[in-house]
Amino acid sequence: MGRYDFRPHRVLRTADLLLETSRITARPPWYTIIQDIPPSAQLTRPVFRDSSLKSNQKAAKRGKKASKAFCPLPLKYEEDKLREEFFGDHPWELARPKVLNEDGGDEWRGWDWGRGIRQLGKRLDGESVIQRQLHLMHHENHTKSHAYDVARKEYYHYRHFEAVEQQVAKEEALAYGAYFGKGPNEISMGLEDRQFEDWKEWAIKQTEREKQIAGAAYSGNVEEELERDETLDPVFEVVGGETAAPTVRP
Amino acid sequence: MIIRSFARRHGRAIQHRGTANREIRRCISSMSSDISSLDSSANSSIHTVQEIEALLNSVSKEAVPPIEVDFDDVEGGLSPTQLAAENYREFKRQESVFKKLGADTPQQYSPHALVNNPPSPSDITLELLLSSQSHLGHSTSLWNPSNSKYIFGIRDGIHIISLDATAAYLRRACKVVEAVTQKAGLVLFAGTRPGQHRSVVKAAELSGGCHLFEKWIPGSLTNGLQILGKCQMKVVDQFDNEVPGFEEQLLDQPPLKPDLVVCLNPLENYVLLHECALNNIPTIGVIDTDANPTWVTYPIPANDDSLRCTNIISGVLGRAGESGKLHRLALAAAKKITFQPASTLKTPGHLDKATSSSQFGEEKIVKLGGTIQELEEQDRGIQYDYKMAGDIPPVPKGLLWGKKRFAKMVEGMELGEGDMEGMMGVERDGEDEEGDGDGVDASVERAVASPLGIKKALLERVRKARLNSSSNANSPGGGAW
Repeated sequence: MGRYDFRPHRVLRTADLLLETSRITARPPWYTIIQDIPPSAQLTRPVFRDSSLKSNQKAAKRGKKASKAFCPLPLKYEEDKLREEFFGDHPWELARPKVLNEDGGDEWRGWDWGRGIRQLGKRLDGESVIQRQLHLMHHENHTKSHAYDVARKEYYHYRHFEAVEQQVAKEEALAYGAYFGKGPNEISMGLEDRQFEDWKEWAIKQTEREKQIAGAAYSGNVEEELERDETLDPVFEVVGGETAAPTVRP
Repeated sequence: MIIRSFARRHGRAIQHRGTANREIRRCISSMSSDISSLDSSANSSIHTVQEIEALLNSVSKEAVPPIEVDFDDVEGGLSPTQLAAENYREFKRQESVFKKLGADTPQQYSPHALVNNPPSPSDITLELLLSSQSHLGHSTSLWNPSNSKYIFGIRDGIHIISLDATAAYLRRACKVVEAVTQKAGLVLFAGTRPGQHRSVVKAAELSGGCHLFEKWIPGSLTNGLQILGKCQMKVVDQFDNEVPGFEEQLLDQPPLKPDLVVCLNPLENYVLLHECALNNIPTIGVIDTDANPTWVTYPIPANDDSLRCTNIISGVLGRAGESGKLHRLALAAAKKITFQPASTLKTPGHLDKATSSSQFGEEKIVKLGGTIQELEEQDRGIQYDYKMAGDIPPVPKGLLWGKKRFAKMVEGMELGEGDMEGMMGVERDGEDEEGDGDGVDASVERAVASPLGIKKALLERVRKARLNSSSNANSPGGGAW
């Protein structure tokens, strides 16, 4: 068979041979179709690195292997640098939730970054700043730093506006009696309180017990006393009219 | 400690359940008194307003006109219940007026829509493929260099598949599926990853093929007699209606093989693809950057790890199959057959004139036409013309004889019935290359329109459905493989 199996690629040729040698009596249903629409060439590799370019000649001089010419190249865009700068200055913008799911994939058709930083159907985020900055650089002849300042300040303005809007909406809702449930701090405090209560219960009993032991050191048999305590456990708590699971004292 | 807290929690729940009824009863009683309490609170607020007025009057120079409340007017002669109903009616009216206002969010992604109503081949756009993540390949270290033709570049350590290549290869695959279903070929859709079963079943349903969403049983093609021997087959006519009476003949038929296999995850289904290669069955597969494109006849370079992507691909191929199937049915309604009838089947009850004519109708029973001279002349040439003769009354004897001639003509050889059977026996033992009789002649479609020649066609094709599969009920269009 060799390194590669080309039988899937050669179904038509095989079918021809089978027909010729009357191994099959009739042409298969795909016979004419594969004649009309043959499978594409296999195992061909395009040259990604053109050796006629100067930069690639330099790379060749540095000792790049000839086979590297067939390796795909990294994709680089102008926005990459701008993203690096913006998110370097505003790292917490990366922590904001973002929807990665796209609907139709062509929402960008309705966007015009010349109108401002806010676009229809686009949530205001760091990417808006980059697109706005790019637009200013390309179409309004701003320098990179100036475009960055303009876009950034527009972003701050609308982000502040959004924050105020959210705060007002929350206060309004609270004033009308909305309840948003417990916050994370409240939940954790409740859990902690429960542990403290449990500990308190256990500590009271433990103190009593230690007092008993201490008292028994002067009178009577300690072993007997302890044994009697053990027989009391486990205790069956009766809750809500039904017998609950036996509880074990810590 | 844990047990105790568990008991406490559940104890509370039990207590709560005991008191729940009481709570509800209390709520109901308080609800009924709500209206009266609202009334009283309105009264008290009016009192407050009047107090504020008095205060303002005492402080400012300008006298504030007192609020005039006519309690009878507020009620309007309505009982509180009627008032509530009136308010509710007004609320509904306002809702009907204002609900249409505000932002509209069209074109939202809904995953079920891709399965229930898949896009057609004409809907393939680069945007659609991009938003369904078909361009995301695997890590650059996992790549198969055979795929370098389909790769656009490297981004963030992964290979990006070229959307142009995906769209072009997908359209090509669509054409193949459409043409195969138009020739009444059997298409098997296989997608064995979790979550792919619905789209696979839907595609098979649309194209009238088979589906596979569980493990491919190795040997189903190469050892089909053992593995699929007990599966049910059925004979259908040109309108895909089942034709009864072939039960005895079907016992001797070899198990069916698909004419085209669509595989959504070739990496896990190497055995299936290998068996297809052994049986000379063309395959279509979704090839990610780490898969080997030589495993399939028609690769579709795309991301096989995204369900949205595989749903789109299987949906589009299913739609293509549907259009081919519909075209075939339309031609059949116009008395044109695009496929070659099963040569290994004999029309049952051919000895009984009455039953055969009543059971299958005149249009399905065809006979030889013309003279012997014409027949011999036709035998000499390579091009054969078939025509259905709905207006000619059935002659069963001629039908039987014609079938033999038919088999000969298709082969293009002079073989007797006995020779054919012997040959088939050898093939069954060997590589099993014998087709299921669904073969097609290149000139059939052209020939059908031609008025010349032999008027003969046996219009049955063989279809098989697997009975023991649990998913059989899901797809009336095609049985599970």
